[in-house]
Amino acid sequence: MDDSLILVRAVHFVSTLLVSGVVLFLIFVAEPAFRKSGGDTHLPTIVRRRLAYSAWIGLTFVLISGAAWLLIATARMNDIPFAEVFSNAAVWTVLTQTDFGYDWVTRLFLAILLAAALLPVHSTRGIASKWKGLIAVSFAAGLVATLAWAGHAAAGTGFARTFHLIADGLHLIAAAAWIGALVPLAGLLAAAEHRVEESSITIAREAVLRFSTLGIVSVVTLMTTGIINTLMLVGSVTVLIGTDYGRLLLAKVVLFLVMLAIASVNRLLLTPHIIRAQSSEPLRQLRINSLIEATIGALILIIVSVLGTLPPGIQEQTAG
Amino acid sequence: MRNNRRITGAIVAALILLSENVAFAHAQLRRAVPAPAAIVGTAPSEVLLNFSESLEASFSSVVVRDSVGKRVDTADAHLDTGDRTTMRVSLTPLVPGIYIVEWRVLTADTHRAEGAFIFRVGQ
Repeated sequence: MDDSLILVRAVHFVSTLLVSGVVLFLIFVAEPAFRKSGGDTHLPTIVRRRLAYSAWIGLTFVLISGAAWLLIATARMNDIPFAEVFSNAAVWTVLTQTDFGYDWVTRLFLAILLAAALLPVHSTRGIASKWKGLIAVSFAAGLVATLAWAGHAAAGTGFARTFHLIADGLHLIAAAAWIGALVPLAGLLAAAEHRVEESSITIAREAVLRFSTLGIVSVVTLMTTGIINTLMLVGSVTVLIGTDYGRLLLAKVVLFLVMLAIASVNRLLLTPHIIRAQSSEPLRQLRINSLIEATIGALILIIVSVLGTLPPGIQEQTAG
Repeated sequence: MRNNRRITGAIVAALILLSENVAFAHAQLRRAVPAPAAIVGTAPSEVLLNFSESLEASFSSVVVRDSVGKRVDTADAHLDTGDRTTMRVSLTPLVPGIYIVEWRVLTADTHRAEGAFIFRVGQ
């Protein structure tokens, strides 16, 4: 059952971060960039439609994988085979009497609220009001941050538990703002590459600059909260290199640094080109780099899916 | 210079504070009363178990049996209100002898753990 749990978690993490990333990208990068287009609605309409579809497909996967995760978790908690999960109101007990269950219900509500907040995206005006945009962002951020409640941070006590949950929640939002937003960025760049209007290049440039800023804030947040989480879950170099948990965490950090290297190339080499150049060639290169980054990000999320099923390394250190 | 020392002191204090409460997956039995392998003169009225992590009440239980396997607890195992790391179960009056405590818990992050230990009442 371990493998199916890891698979379901991986699908859930990837789809959740993708949906949240799409929303964060839409409100903080795309819509502000569209406002610089001087009234042209061709590219904005195409991009909004793509983002809306991505969000809806993503939400579908979030709901299906979330349901599967609940069923598998219920089976494991009760130590019963998966087939027996529907008897004895086992799922109801989990939903109404455990942290995992409360978290699950909360996130279901957030997903529904987010779906409602995304309905206007289909129209040509998109999410026109700034307030509606921030509401959508709040639901998206909430949907991804509450994943922390289903993780190791939830098992702590007192102040340390609250502190850990907050750090982990911020870590998740930052991850969504970076890994999750890379895919819609690639989508916007792909749409801009094939258009002939000057305004499309303007939109693409503006989007790249804004994404860059979002990316820097995300990276700083990821590193800070990542260090906090590592101190609380691993605690020492001995545990870091001496346990499976620690070594997986190291692999995650290495992949993070690879993503950072690619992002640096994008920021320091490609972005200035995009600002200056007239052709769409640097846009194409940036799109490819972004997709490579996103793939590495997905690998990180798979590692995270495994980590959550293991006892944190610090536990093995104190065991007899 | 003085500022650096103050900041370092604050960070160290924070880390110490955090490490007091830090408790992670796969619960470990931190403390038990009666303690594992203890010999107690008077029969205890309850068994107290304190774990390294927050537990889920609905999925955590403890059973106490005597040396022939008969249950001697009152089946009222419960977590302390306000402290999800401590579980207690009341006992029927115990005669001198060896008793075994069997615990099974689920941590708040859905990991299961179980264990057992014995204690003795009397000389």
